[in-house]
Amino acid sequence: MNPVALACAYLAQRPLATLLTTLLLALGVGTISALLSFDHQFRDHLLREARNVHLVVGSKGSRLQLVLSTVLHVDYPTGNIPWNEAVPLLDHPAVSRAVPVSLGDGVGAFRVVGTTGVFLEAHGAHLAKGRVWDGSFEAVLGATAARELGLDVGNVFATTHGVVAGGPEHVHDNYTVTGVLAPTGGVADRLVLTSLESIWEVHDQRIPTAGDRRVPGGDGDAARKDEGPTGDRRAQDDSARGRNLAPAEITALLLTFHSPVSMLRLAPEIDRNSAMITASPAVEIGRLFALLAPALDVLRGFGIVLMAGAALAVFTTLTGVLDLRQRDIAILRALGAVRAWTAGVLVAEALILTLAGTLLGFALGHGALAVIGIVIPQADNAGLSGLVAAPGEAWLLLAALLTGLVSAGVPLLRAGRGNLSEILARN
Amino acid sequence: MHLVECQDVAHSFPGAPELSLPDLVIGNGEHVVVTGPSGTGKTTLLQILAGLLTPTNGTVRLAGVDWASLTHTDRDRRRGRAVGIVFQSFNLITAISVLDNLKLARRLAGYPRDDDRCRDLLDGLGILDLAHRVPTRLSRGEAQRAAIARAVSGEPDLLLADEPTSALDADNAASVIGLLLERAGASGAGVIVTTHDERIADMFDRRVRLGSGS
Repeated sequence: MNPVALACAYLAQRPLATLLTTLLLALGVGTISALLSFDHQFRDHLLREARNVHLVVGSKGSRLQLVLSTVLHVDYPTGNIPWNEAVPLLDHPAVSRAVPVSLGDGVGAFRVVGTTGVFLEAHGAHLAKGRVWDGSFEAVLGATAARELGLDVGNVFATTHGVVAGGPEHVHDNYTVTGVLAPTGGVADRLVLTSLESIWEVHDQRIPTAGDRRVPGGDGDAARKDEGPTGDRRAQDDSARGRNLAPAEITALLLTFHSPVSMLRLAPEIDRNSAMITASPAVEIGRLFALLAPALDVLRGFGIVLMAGAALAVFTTLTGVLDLRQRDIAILRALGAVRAWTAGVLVAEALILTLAGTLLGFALGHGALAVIGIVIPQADNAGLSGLVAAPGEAWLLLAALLTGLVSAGVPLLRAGRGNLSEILARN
Repeated sequence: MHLVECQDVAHSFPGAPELSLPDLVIGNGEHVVVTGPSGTGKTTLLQILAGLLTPTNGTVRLAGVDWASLTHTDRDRRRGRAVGIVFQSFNLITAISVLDNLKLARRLAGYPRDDDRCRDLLDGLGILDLAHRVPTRLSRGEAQRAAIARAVSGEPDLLLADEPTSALDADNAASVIGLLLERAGASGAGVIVTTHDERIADMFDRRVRLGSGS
């Protein structure tokens, strides 16, 4: 029997008080832990996804919405830009990589993205099976999309109009799955990728292309030039259907530059001299965090209030049982326990209580994130997981343990002042 | 060297008249009963002998060591090693089992863990079947035996018992004192028992009367 074992026995002796105090502390810690982890994961996810896109060129409107919809695939597209205005940027000497994207359709909860093979390179995506689309109405599915839609190579599916589930189905244009991507841990996992032409054709606005309507990077240009991570990437060429089509419009162009300086020169030019606007993902994500900061601060404050309440509960619990504990402390001293030993019992009791509350809080906080990740598609899209700990959570653990120690401090001081013979004589 | 030596001991509590206690010398293994009416200082004497209370006057030595010369920590340690106490209200720790009460006392006395010895003690007192019961679920008689077992579990040199028969009838009182003296005798411990129960006084080597001279 040591101080820790005795402290456990004391806690077990008051199961309801112990449980309620632990739960109260767990709620405070859980709220803060969930917020810290959410903030950390969200930031990390956004920055990771935006890492390889220096500039988004899209239709005039909200820059933040443009970035959210075309880079992170979590908002509605802002509109389209003319393809012929985008084409010069594809071969611009300052641009190291250009990824055109066309949005507008979905399959269940998953967005269909018309793009070129360069998209795979930009997202570090590899084929797990099958091949890349090689013409209109062929599609490659992200790992999560394939799993949740129950589709595999060779399966056929129809898309719906609109990026959210429930839109009217495009019944006459069925897609064939030609490949499935290996998991990337990013947005690509939840996308259905196809050619730019497919998106255009599915809306029945086919325009035959002349030589200037080819799709650079799609029609064997970038895709063939650079075999990239897929290794087996093939051009998307509608010649298989005997047609050579290109879209009249796309949703946006995602650009990566050779140097930041060239980006800073080109962006204002586009903004000034075209019907398009540019948005820097880094800037817009910073703006998003600035917008979210007050709400996160309020939630964090709420968590701190909860935790302070829990600290008071631990303090009250320990102080409330002190009269009872003073008798036991006196008995222990009479049995030969030195003051450090009896103090150890009180400290162990406080630390066990706070540690249990903190660990339960971490479990609740991360469990809540895991559930949110499963229930809310946008959260899953943002890569939200219950298994990721934020660095700040280590400080949270320390703060909670410190709270426990402080809570034990006052009862310790009071217990130390007790007169042994008086306390023993009272019983 | 004597087991216990008390010289010129007196103690005064705030607002109460000073209690003068008789000079006392007790040898190793000697069994002494302290009798006297209520308010004559029997409990105070035991607390002073156990080093739980520092008298306002006089000297108390246990095995030649003056309690007053020790720090709080050393006093606690010495009490754990050398003194076993049976409190009037037993003072068992209610959060743990009877067996754990014995194991705890033995540990605080500085002995290594020895569950068998604790079980033997409980067996000797006829309460082995209560080993895993918490003290709040014991009858008064069972709690008394558990308190005796705990007091001797640390193999003390001096066993102190405060009114251990106050709530017992004559037969049970004799039985409890018999168990106490038997256990103390087995380890060679000296015994000092306070009581106002004249029926058990004859079971001791010596009697000390408070309030009317020794």
